[in-house]
Amino acid sequence: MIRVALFIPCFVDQLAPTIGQAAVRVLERAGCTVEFPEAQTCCGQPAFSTGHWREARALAERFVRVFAAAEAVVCPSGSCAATARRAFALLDDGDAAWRRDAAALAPRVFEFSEFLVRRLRLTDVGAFFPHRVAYHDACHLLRELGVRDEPRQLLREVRGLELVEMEEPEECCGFGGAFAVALPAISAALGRRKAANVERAQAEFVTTGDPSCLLHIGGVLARQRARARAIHLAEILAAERRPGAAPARP
Amino acid sequence: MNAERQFRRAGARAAADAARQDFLRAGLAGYGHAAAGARRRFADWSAARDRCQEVKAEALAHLDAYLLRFEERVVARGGHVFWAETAAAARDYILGVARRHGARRVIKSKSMVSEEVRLTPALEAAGIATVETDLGEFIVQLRREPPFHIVTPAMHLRRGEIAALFQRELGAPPGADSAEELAGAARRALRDQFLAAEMGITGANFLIAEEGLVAITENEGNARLCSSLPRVHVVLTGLEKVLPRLADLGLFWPVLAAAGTGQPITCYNSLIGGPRQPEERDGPEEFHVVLLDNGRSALLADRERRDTLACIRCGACLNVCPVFHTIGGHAYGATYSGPIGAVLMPQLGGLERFGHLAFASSLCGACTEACPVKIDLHRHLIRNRRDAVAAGRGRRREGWAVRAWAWLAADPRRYQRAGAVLRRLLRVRRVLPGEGGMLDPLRPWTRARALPAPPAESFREWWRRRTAAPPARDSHD
Amino acid sequence: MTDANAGRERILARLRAARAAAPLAPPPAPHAAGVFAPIADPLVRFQEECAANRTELYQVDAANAATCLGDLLAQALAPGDGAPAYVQDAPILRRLLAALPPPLPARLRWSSEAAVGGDAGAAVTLAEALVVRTGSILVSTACGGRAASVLAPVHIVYAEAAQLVPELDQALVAARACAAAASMLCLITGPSRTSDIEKKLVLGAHGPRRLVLLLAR
Ligand code: SF4
Repeated sequence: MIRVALFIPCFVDQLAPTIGQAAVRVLERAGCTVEFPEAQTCCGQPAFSTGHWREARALAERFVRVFAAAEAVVCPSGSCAATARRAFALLDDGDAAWRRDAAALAPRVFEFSEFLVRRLRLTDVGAFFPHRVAYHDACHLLRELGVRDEPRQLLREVRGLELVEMEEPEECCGFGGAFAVALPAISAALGRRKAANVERAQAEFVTTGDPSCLLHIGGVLARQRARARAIHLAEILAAERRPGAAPARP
Repeated sequence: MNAERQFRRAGARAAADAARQDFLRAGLAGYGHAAAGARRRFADWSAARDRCQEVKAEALAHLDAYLLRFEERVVARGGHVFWAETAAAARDYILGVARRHGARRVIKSKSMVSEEVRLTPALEAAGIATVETDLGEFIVQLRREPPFHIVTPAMHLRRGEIAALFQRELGAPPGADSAEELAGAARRALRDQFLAAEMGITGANFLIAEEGLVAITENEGNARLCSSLPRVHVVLTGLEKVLPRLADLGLFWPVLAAAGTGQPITCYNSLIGGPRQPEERDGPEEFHVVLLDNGRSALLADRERRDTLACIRCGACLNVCPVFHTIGGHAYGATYSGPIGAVLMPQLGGLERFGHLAFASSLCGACTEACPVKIDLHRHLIRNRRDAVAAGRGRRREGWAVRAWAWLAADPRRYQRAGAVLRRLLRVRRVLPGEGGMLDPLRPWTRARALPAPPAESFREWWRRRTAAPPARDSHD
Repeated sequence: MTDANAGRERILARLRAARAAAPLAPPPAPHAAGVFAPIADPLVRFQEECAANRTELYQVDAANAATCLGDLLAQALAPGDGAPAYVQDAPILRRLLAALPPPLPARLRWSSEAAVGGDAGAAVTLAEALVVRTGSILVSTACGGRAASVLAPVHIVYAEAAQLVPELDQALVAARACAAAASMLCLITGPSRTSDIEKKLVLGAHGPRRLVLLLAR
C-alpha cells in the first residue's frame, strides 16, 4: 500500500477545496493511505513565474522540507507538480546542495492522473459520470510533465462518460498565472476561444488536471452563460453511482 | 507614451478583433499542418532537434575560431568581411560601400538583421532608392509598415487589401486580385529594378566556417537575383549564424524548412563564397559580408541564455504562440516579435525598452516544444522577468502581491488565517452589485470571467474536521 | 583584404572571453542515417519528390533526348517575341542541340559567348548532382553563371541518372568540391514560388515558373 503525501495548491485549499476532497476520495478508493502534511503552504509557483526567485526559493525550501520523507507526493495540479519537479532546481543560485535536494525530491512528485496511471497502473477507478466531457490539455501537464494520454485513459473508463475531443485541445486557455490579470484582454480572448471550442464540441463539461485553467475557463463559460461547465478531473473520478440517486452532477 | 503602455494598448486592441484573429490563425494553422507533415518525413524528429542543438552549441562554444576561419576563406576568394559592433557601424559601412560605387539603386532581399539595424531608412536618407524584393517585404514596404512576421511579412493582409495597394502604388489594373495576378504584378514591377540596381543586399541563414560560404534559403529567387545581378553584393548577418561545416546543412536545411514553412526543403538553398571568380561569366565584382554583433557577444557571455544565439529564425515559435495568435506581430513594437522576440529584444535592445515583453506570455511552453534547436524559450522569459525584478524594473503591484503572499505562506498558521480573511472578503464582494464593473476591485479578472463563490471551509479545515472525527470518509457530501 | 576595423578586435576579444574551455571539437557531422527514414527505391522516390515539388521530370534515353529537348525549347520560346535561350556551353548540350530545327538555332546563346540576360526566354544547363531524398538539383556557376539558373522563366536541366545521390549529405560533398572553383552554388528544389499572399502557392515568383528536368538513363 502506497502512502501518499497530498500537496494541495494554495488556491485549491482556499477557493476550490472540493477538488482536494475528490482527490482524497479517489486515492483512498485506489487503496492509498493519504496524508496531508499541514505544514505545507504554497509551492512558490506565482513567485517563480513572475520572476521573484528569492521568494520562490524560500517557498520551495519549505516544500522540500515538508515532503522530504514522503514516498510519493501527489498534487491535483499540473503546474504545481511541474514547479516542484522542474522549476525548483532552477532556483539554485549556484547552490549545489539545493540542487541535490531538489533533484532528490523531483522523481517522487506526481500530478494526480499521472500518479494513478503511471505509478498505480490504474485506469478504472470505478467512477460513474454520465455526461459528455471534453478534455483540455493544460499546458504544464502536457509540456512540462508530458501527460497527454493518462487523463484520457482515466476518462474513457468512467461509466456513462462520453469523451469528446474539442478543436485545438492543446492550445493554451490563456490563464497563465499573473498573465491573466496583467494582460487581461489577451488572456480573456484566449479564454473565449477555448470556451467556444468547448461549446462547439457540445460538451457538458470541460475538464483537465489544472485547477487554475478551470477557474479561468469556467469563469469565461459562466460569464457567457454557456451550458458547459468546468470540472476538475478528480471530481469526475470521485463521482460514483449510488443506487436510487440521481445521476451525479457536482 | 512608453513602450509598455503602447504594447498593452495595441495588444488589447488586437485581442478585441476576433475576425482578424481568425484570419491570422487560419494562416498560421496552414503552417502548422504543413510543419506536422514535414516533421513526419523525419524518422526521428526529436533526434534531429538534438543534433541541431548539439551542432549549434559547438558553433557557439568556439564562435571566435569559426568566424576567423570563415573570414579567412572569404577573403581568400577576394571577398571582404566587416565586423560591426553596433547597428550604426553596420549602417555606416554599407553606406560607405554604396557611396564608393556611386550606387543610386539598391535591391534587398528579406533580412531581419537589416530591420534590426534600420538599414533601409539610412539608405533612403542618403538618397539611395532601396527596394525590398521578397513579395511579402515588398508589400509591407509599399504600406510603409514593418514586417508582421519574421518569415512571412505580409500574412496579416487580405488579398483585397493587397490588390488595392497595388492599384494605388503600381497602377495595377482593378480586378486583378487573385494571388497569381498579384504575384505577377510584383514580379513585373521588380524585374527592372533587379536589372538596374548597382548593389544587392541580402541576409544569411548560415555562415559555413570550414568552407567560408554564406548559405541563403528562400523560395522566390529574389535573393538569388540580388546576389547575382548587381555589381556589388553585401551580406548583412548576425555573427551568431555560424555552422562548423558544409556537411551540417544536410540536417539544417531540411530542419529549417520543416520548422519554418513546413516544406521538405526550401526551393532555393544558395551557397555563396565570394565575388565573381576569374573564370565566371557573371556575378558581383565585389562581395562584402557584414558580421553584426549589436549585443550578441554579450549574450554569448551569458551562459544561462547563450542558447538564444542558436536561433535559426524559422518562425516556428511565433506560429504556435497563443499570444502571437491573438495580437499578431505589430503589437510587439519590436524588430523580432513572438516568443523569440520577447526573449531576444531585452538582450539586444535593452531591458528598459523591451523588458515588458517578457510578461507577454502565458508560459504555455508551446514555443519551446516547437523550437527546432531546442532553445529554452519560455524559461528564458521567466529569467527575463527575474532580471527585470532584480533590476527594480518589475511590475510594482505584482511585486507587492507576490512578496505579501510569500510572507504569508512562510508560516502555515499565518497563511491559514489570511486565507480565511480572503474568503470572507470575497464573500462580501459578492453581495455588492456590479461584478466586473468599473468599481469592482477585481475587475481585471471579473471583467471577462466570473469568480465562483468562495467556500465556507478550506481544504485544510475540512481535513482537520475529518481526521478529528473518524471514520469520516465522505463527510464532505 | 579584410577592412581593418577596430570593432573587429573588440568583438573578437569578447568572443574569446566567452569561449568554452573545451577544445574545438565539432560533433560528428549529422548524417541522414538515424534522422531520416531509409529510401526504398531511389528512382521512384525521386519521381515522387519531383512531382510534389513541381519539377517537370522527363525520363529520356540516347535516342529521344535531342527531340525531347527540341520540343521543350520550341514550347518555351514563343515564336513572336524572339527571346533567346541561353545554353551552357557543354559538349553534350552542343550535341543534343546540333540537329535543332530552324528557326530555333538562331535563338540559342552559348554561355561561352554571353552571360544570361534579362531577355532570356529559357535557359538550358547541366547539373552537378541530383538528390533523391528531396527531388533537388544542385547547380553551380559552371552552368553558365549565377543568373543562368534563375533569370529565365523556364529552366531546363539535362542530367544523367548516374548523377542521382540518395541524400543531401552526398550532394554537399559534391558541393564542397565545386566550391573550390565556383563562387555560387544552389540546391534547387522545384520552380520558384511564393505563398506570401493569403498563403496561396503561386509558382514563378522571381525565378523560373517552370523547372524541367531531362533525366537520361
Ligand atoms: S527561437 Fe527557435 S522556433 Fe523561434 S525562430 Fe528561433 S529557431 Fe525558430
